[in-house]
Amino acid sequence: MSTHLTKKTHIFLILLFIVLLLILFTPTLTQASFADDYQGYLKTYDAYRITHIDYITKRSQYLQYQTLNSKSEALTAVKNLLLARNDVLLGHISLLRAKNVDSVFNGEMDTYFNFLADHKNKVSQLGSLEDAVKVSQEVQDQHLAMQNLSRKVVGSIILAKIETQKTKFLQLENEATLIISALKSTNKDVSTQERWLLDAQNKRFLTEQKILEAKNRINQFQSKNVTKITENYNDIQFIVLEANQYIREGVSFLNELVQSIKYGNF
Amino acid sequence: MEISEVTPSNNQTEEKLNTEPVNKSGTKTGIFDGLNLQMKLLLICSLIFLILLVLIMLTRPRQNVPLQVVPSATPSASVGETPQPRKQSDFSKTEEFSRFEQDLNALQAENKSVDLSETELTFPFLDMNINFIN
Repeated sequence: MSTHLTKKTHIFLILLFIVLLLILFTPTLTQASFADDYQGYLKTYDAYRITHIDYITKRSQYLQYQTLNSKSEALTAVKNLLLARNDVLLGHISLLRAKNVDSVFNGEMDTYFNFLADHKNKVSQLGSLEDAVKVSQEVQDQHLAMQNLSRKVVGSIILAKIETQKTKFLQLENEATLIISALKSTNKDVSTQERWLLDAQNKRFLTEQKILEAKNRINQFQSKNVTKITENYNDIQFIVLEANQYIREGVSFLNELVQSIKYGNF
Repeated sequence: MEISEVTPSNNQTEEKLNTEPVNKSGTKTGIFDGLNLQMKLLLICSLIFLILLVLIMLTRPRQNVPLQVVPSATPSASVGETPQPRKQSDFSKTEEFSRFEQDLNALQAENKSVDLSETELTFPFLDMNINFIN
């Protein structure tokens, strides 16, 4: 009986050890997985550039000579280009999916992912240059919408990093309040520490304002040309950088509080 | 040698005045006239050398003599002294405070190293204008 129990305990301990290992190394594995995906994406981007050069060459040859041979080569080149372009877009959406923090965008990303997968099938069946141009136009029509979605997802990713910091900052504020209360109860003069804490809290309020502003901009993100998309995204990024700076200043005030307690008459 | 007339009243003065030797032609001679050419050249060269030496002595850069500090009786602060370590308060040695300080340092490190550029997620630049029109 005791041997049986010992065996069960051994199995349980081994399973627990495996689970703990998985918990510890999953973030590392996820990061390694993203890094591999990114390297794969860069390779598809390089392949796209090569096929694009070939397409430009074959296109100009066809437009110049208008022979059957040049037409056939142009068709092969444009098919390869459309497939390579498709792979790049699919790769980009895969990277966005890997890092996405807001489930609101999952549906839209799935829609574009399926659209591009369907587009790939259409390209492989192309028989003429006219068909190639029509099929390419379908992706062109969705291009701006895909860019808008991409910027919204990235905006929410960087904002999430600031929100995580703000949550930790709030936790530190609460701890600081408890520490000051403990010191006050022993009749120590904590007026300086309270002032440092108040300054830190003010910085946190400013951070929250910036987070709200960035969230609103992300929710309303919809631009009709590439230049506007870039401008709007840069504005969001700037607001997020400001929020990060406010947290930094708040942390410096809490540091002053720490130093004043560490080397004060406490 | 022609001897000038000497009167009893100004004999010594005239003797003093007329100390220069007189040559056979009757003109008075200088102190260098008795010297030969070699001696003259030697004297001129020595004179030039002396002038040059004086000029060099006058124009050479003066060496600064370092000031000698005379030690005084009063004590003075020196850079070599090590600062006194600050004394940590008793409260700062508690677990609660140490944990707070650690969490604050961790947040500070995170804030400094956070990547808000996400360059890996930049939208790819692609040719969307596919056509076969001139």
